[in-house]
Parts: sequence; structure tokens; C-alpha cells
Amino acid sequence: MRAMRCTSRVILGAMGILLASTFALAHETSVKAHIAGVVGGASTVVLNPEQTRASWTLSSTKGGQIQLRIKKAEDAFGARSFATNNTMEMNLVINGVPSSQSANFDILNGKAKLKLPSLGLTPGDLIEVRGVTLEDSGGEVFGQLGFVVRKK
Amino acid sequence: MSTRILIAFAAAALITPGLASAQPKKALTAGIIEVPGSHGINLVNKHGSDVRTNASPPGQIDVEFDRVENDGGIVSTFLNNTMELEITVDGVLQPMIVQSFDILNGTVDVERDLGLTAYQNVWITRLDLYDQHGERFATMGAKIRN
Repeated sequence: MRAMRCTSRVILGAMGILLASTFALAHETSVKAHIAGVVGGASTVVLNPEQTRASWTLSSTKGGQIQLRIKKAEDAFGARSFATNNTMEMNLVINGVPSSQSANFDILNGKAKLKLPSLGLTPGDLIEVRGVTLEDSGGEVFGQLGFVVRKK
Repeated sequence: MSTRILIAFAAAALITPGLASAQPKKALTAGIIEVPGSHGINLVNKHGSDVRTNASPPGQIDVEFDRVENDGGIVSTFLNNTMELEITVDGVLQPMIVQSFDILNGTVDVERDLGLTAYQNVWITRLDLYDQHGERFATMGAKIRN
């Protein structure tokens, strides 16, 4: 009987920790955003709102790590995009100091996956996100931090 | 009886994360960070503050703080603050969205419908929070942690 009570307390304690951790993680400390396309843009890369999935992430761990992921990007004819030498331009402010950063990436068969090296920041450092823009090799913008409104 | 209670707790613990993941995906979830050098209103990040945007019509933005302190480290009330949001919809910069809010006993939950319709492309250009004196004290971003 005593062993059963002890076991019950341990299980209840574990449940409490699990529930507490669930709520403690409810708030976001990183930035996880979609990338929205350009309506009527001149770029050969099209982020089709009904097909393409594009996201940009700034992780608050590992010194600040940035990732870009694109799936099912299209060309002007609706086929999967093959577009090399694109650029991701990021307008950040790190600890109050403006910091523009850029990285090149290729889109192959509609897909791109870019994981930048850590920004090398330390705990407590602050990164404002003022804008993220995707440009093709000709400098035409085809995506920006945002989202496409979905049907209800 | 106690076994039944335990089973109920176990089921609740297993179901809670499942419910969270079943919610509609947000278009954007981001931390709200204090602006370096600002003073008066201090966000306690370990208690959470963030912004979420719902991509379903009419599109809603939700800014939430769980603990805000004054310079003395005391949970406080701050009235007459302002959220400024700039968005571009289908390539057209929209009039700035301004929403007033009060921080009561260190917490606030600001919600604002954006009046969007399906398939509109929305770019988030700027999200800043100002205190009653017009000083920018918080913005969208990340605070590096371990």
C-alpha cells in the first residue's frame, strides 16, 4: 500500500512537471515566419500561394541560427523552378546596431534549403528583425517576410 | 479510485500537447524583445512575450506579455501604450495600423483583426511598441538564450 502511494506521488509529480513544461514553452523566443511571394512581379521565380511553402527561421539557440526553406517554387510557366544565384537579404539590428546580411542560394526542382552558420551571439543578445527579402539572380524580388491569407 | 485519477491525469498530459499541435498553423510566431537602451518598461523574457499572426481571414495579430516590470524590477501597470504595425498587402503599403493598449499588472494581450481576405499576399514590414511618451520599448525579434 505504501509503495503504491509512493508510486502515485511520483507519477503525479511527473505529470505536473510535464504540464508545467508544456505551458512554459507556450511563448515563442525565436522568429518563425512564412515568406510571401510578389503579386505580378517580374521575377522568374514564383511563390505560388496555393503550392509553394516558404519559411524563414531565426533560432534563439546556438548563438542565433538562420534557416530558409522553400518547397514547390515555380517558374513563370507553373513548372518547378530551377533558379541559381538567388540572394536572401536580411535587415537585422543586433544589440541596437543595424546589420545587413545576405546569403546566396539556389532553387533546384522547386526546392531550396539554406542553413547559415551561427551568428555567434551570446545569451541575452537581442536581434530585431526589420525585414527579409528574396531576390533572383537578376535582382528582382520574389519573396518577403509575410504570409498568404488562407481560405477559412 | 486513485488509479482512475492517475489514468485521467495521464490522458490529460498526453492529450494537451496533441491539442496544441492540432491548432491552426500560425503564419508568423516571433518573440517580442526589448529595444536596447530603452527604459521604463522591461520585458521579462523568461516569462514570455510574443507575437502571433493568424493567416486565416480576416487575419489577426496577437501580441502578448506575461510579465512586465518597471526599472525597479516590480511588476507594474503602464497605461496608454501603442502598437504600430505596417503591412503591405498585394504589393500595396497599407495605412499604418495603430492600436492602443494598457499593460495591467505586468500583463497584456493585444489582438487586432487585419481585415484580410483569402489569398492576399501580406508582407510584414514593421511591428513596434511604444510607451506613453512615444519611446519605442519593444519590437519583433529574438533574444539569444542557452
